[in-house]
Amino acid sequence: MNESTRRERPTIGQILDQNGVGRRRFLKYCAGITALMAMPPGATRAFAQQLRAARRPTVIYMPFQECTGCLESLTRSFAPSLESLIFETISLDYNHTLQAAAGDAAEEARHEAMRDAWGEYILICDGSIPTKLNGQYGTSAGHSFIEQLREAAEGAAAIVAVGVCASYGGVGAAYPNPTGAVGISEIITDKPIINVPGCPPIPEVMTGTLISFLASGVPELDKHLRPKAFFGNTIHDRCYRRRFYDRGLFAESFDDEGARNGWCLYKLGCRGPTTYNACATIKWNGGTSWPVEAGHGCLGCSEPGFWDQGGFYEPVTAKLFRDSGQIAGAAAAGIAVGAAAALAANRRKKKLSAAADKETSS
Amino acid sequence: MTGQSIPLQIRNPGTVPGGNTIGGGVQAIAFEVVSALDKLLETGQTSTIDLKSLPMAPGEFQEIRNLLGQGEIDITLDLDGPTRIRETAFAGVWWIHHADAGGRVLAEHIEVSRVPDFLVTPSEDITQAVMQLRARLQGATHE
Repeated sequence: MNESTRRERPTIGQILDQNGVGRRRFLKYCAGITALMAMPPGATRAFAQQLRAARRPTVIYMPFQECTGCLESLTRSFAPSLESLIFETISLDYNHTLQAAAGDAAEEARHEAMRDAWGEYILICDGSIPTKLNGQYGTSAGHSFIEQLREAAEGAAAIVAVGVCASYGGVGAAYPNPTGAVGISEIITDKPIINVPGCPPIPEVMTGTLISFLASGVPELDKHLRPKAFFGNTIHDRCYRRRFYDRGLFAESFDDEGARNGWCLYKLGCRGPTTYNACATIKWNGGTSWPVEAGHGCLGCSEPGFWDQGGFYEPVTAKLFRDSGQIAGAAAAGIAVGAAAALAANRRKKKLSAAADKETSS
Repeated sequence: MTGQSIPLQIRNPGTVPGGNTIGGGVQAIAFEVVSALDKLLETGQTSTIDLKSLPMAPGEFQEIRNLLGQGEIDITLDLDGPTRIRETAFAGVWWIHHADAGGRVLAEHIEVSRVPDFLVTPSEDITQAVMQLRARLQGATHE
């Protein structure tokens, strides 16, 4: 790409100034973003400065083997506020679900956008990539999804894999995985990849990740390439029902006294202890509620292979006991681990104490 | 089975589940506020507690609000939705609530400071104000 032909892209600060957006209005928006990202509120001003200095990005959004649920979720995070203005400053140059153009015109628009911002655009992907039969399970415009992904990834500054399918294969990769579905990171290995898993992901986590990338580049990621700001804690760690788990108070069915009292849903299959996500603090539907608050356990939809982790209503420890046919005791076993450890420590202590007494008396 | 025959009972959504097991979290926040006030007095350092990031049962949030109460100052700014800045009944402890135009809470925190940081005028705005006022005094218009 010839540098001289690139369009000079304004900074987000310049765009906001042109639209008469005052600094306090922008600071308020950034206060919301830093709260989402669990950054200390004192960091808001510095974050606002970084974001103002960021240049208007080009975004290419490519759906693959997907259900459009992630895009539905993402578009619902656009409140009629400053957030929409910031996202209007993003040049969303290709999304075949949202754009009016179709067929050759749409493909030409994508190629033009890629040429124009080669090496600088953000590539957002949703859906898994089918790999069996040389990728023929998924094709568009005469090319397999694998070919399209490789072509678009080549000129990307970074790739954001939105949803559990793009991140780890998701439902497409569930046993027996007939299409050989995989996540983006199994195909593309030479570009920064940020996974934003979930089925769908929390809308604010998706937009927060993009805004964070604009302000300061690729955020700190965990071993599954998820931003630690949103996926750094388990659901269980941040759950308001955690205190009941600690006290051994569990709902045993969805209509018993424990369920009505809001006790821990561990025995009813809640995967909060093994699931990293921000549902417990950001919540859903504009912060209205979230599954555990509504009385249902977490399904673990932001974890790799979540469809194949056993029944949704079995305790998370059940899979450990499946082979030996001891599922019924799995919940008790999981809960008993802590108690057993304490008991063993107590026994060791008594044994040592008895040995010491024996030595003293002899 | 019809919907009418399902023995559902609607409980008061304002009550805290588990009754007497709740309260520790509210107390912990209150002690943190006391500690932040001490720090403000001794060193001048301000503190902020992000309420949105704390795991709270549905009734606990209101419990903290009730505990801190309302002081003399209550300011509402219209910035793409209301931003409400209230001094609580405890001087130097501010309850700050940012909502969007649809009423969705964007951020909510307790700030312990002499004046909330959000109200402090940024230097860039002062620089711009100097230029604008000078231009006006010289009879010119300035963007």
